[in-house]
Amino acid sequence: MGAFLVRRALALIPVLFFVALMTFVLMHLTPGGPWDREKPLSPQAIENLNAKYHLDLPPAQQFLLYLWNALHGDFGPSYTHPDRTVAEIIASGAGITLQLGFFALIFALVLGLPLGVLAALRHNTPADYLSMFVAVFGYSVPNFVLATFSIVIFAAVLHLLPTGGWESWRAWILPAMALGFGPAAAIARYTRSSMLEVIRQDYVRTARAKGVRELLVVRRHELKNALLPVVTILGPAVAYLVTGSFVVEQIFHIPGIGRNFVDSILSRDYPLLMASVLLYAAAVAVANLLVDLSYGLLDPRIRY
Amino acid sequence: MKHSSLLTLGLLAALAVAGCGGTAAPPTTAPGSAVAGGPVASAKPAGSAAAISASASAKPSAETAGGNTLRYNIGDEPESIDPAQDQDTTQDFVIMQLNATLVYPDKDLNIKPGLAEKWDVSPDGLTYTFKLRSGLKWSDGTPFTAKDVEYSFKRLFDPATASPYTDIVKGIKGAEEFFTSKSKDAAELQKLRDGVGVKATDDTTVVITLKEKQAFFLSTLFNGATAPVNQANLEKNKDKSFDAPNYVGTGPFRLQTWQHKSKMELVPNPNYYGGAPKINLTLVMIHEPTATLAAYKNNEIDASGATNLSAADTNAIRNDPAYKDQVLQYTELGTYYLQYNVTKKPFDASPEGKKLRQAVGYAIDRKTLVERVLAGVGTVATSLIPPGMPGHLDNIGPTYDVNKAKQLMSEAGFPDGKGLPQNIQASYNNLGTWPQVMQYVQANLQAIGINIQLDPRESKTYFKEMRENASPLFRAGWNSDYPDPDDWYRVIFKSDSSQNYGKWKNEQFDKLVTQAATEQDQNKRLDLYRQAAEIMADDPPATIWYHAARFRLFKPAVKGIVTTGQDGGLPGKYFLKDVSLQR
Repeated sequence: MGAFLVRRALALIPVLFFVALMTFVLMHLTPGGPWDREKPLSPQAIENLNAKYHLDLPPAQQFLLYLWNALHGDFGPSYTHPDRTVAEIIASGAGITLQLGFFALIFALVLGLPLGVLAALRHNTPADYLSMFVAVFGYSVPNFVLATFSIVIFAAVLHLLPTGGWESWRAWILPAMALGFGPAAAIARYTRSSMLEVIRQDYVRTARAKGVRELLVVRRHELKNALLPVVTILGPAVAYLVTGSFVVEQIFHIPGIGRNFVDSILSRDYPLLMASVLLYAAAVAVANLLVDLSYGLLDPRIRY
Repeated sequence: MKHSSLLTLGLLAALAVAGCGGTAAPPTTAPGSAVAGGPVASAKPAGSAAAISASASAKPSAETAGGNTLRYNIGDEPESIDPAQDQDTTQDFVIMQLNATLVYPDKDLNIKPGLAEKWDVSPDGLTYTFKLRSGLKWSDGTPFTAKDVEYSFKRLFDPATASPYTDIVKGIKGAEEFFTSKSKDAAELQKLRDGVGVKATDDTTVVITLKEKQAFFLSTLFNGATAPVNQANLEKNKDKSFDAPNYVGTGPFRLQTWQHKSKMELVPNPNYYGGAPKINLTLVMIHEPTATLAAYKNNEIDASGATNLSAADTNAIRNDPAYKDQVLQYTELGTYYLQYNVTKKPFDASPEGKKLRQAVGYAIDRKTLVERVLAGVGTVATSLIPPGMPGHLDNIGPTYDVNKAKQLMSEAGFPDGKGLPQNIQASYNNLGTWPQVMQYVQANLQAIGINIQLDPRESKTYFKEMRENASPLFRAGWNSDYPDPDDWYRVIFKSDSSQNYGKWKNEQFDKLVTQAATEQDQNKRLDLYRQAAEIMADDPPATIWYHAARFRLFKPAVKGIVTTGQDGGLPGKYFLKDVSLQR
């Protein structure tokens, strides 16, 4: 297991390098730069700014300079927020985005798992159809539509919850729901089909024949074995939560790094953009690693 | 069966917890920040913990929420509130609450005393002597002297500062040489710095020397970029000088906290020369119009601030008895137009191209454009200078006359558009109402036989393209830097101006605006600009559409909002210090 972890950790390095390289190339190929405004800056101002941020160096040198600094923990200044370094901006927002993603994941699990289990145990009954309707709804409605509607209903009309921000626990509810509904739907569907498969297995029939209590059958035999495919989709689900957070953070004006990511693309804030992309790549890679590790917990046949 | 009811219960419980957010305890009233202190979160929240402050959400529907704090939405986080980095309206808004400038506008944008209580201009118009008020202090209590003004201007022009927006005051002697210097030699840079024409001759006198006469110079001096900065603070705190709690300024408010990307809390500055304001100011950053409107209706904010509502929402509010009396609609010094690249056919510099450009001017139904596409938030324009500024002209430029447009088309040799290229490229940036405006214009042009192809772009891509290779037709606009026609005619349309994306060149126009820039007699100036406007109507570099207006919401408790044409979309910018709240 130790060797496995080390190997996976080392594999992260070339992944991040190529992500950085591709991002850098795409960034600089995209037309328009950080100093292009509707009211343009004078050529002299642009020259001074380019000199200040080393944008007048050849691209290859800029990339190497960036890597060198990054390895020493210096991710550069932000063009759009010159008073703060990229590291500070990310540090102040990352915690909030992680929280949002975590709550959304909890919501997705709390809603999706029981829904899927219920649907499977009550196969082909109204409970099944209702659960799947909820799942399809969550799947099809985009999270920004869900977000906007929930703000209008719960805040503007019913005055029950704030419209956004991240100040009190009440502000966490709507964004977590808007973000988590899609994964909840996916989890429900996968749980249902996986449970249906497991229910038909011989060992389940054996357990029931032995006289094991129904609840124990469900918990120990059916659910645990059904979870494997579900856990598999948690990897991509984390990626989804991470990317979905851009939109949700924007709509609920949550001060996380999702907003930074979108803004940095639109304003061509290269250092902030690079750091954000690298962070997300690392987060998804780590999530996938955790998913792989969890197989070992769920299925005794799998050993690393 | 037993387990099914257990599961169903669990399911219901899950739904109840995660679903509708209604909870047992009713929301408590926010304690409303007292003038001294209030819910203070640290300026640099270390991860999640500090971000979850104790402030409760607003009590719905009661007007007691907010207390003595004006909760104003500025839309986005300002990039930096270092005056030397001031280049957009959000920054300027915040900077003007925290800083004072040498002169200050009144509600009609006339120049009144600011930090300086009086000034003299030499007969040759090159030397301005400002006398500062006595007893001026920084927000931290230290004395403010003329040396601070000198230091700040020199810092603004320092190439190492890399200020993006020195254009406004580069008429000052020695400024441009210093700003464009590529030298790395410390002695040489110091010499250039000393050569900048801003000198403190004693503790309360600043002498500014221009390199050429500028009739409009004073009106450039209330831009936030010219606000003095505190040298001691900069030397001690360097990069962190312009963040809470270090910020030191001379303005009506002090920066108490700044939760980045979330909100800023400003409190009155007792050392402000004009007397401390009566309110606290909380600036929130809600970008989405729907979310802003919801926050306003949920009593989380008192002012919709920077938000531009959609046409549908605007009309809905106008007809909503609960909110229609809370609307503030006012005009700003902005004008929007369809600009031509006269180096590309068919709207080029030839006589036929000129007639075509004139024809387009008569083909646009501006009244319907404003009423329908903009939901009435705008005013019809036929010439460049908006109302509220000297130089505004009412009766120059084309009106809506389809027959005249068609006639001009025939005179140009393209009766009903026959012979014109099809799908003429018309580009714009895909933001806000521009798509609808461009579609409307396309329909107008279709009616007289001109067939244009709309080509939307992402904003930065668009600005770069406009600058380097503008399409035959492109959407453009201008918002005033300073309230003088020079900022418009010369800065945008003089043939050698860097803004002249359409490469339009008219020698008589160039002569007129150059002369008007230095002419001291205001009447003569206005006449020169009138002639310039007539040239623009005859040989249009652009077809003008409409002047800017804004539609904003303020709670009835907010008293004393005074708008000017240079508020930049954030109404009341220059006079928030005089606002009071009567909840």
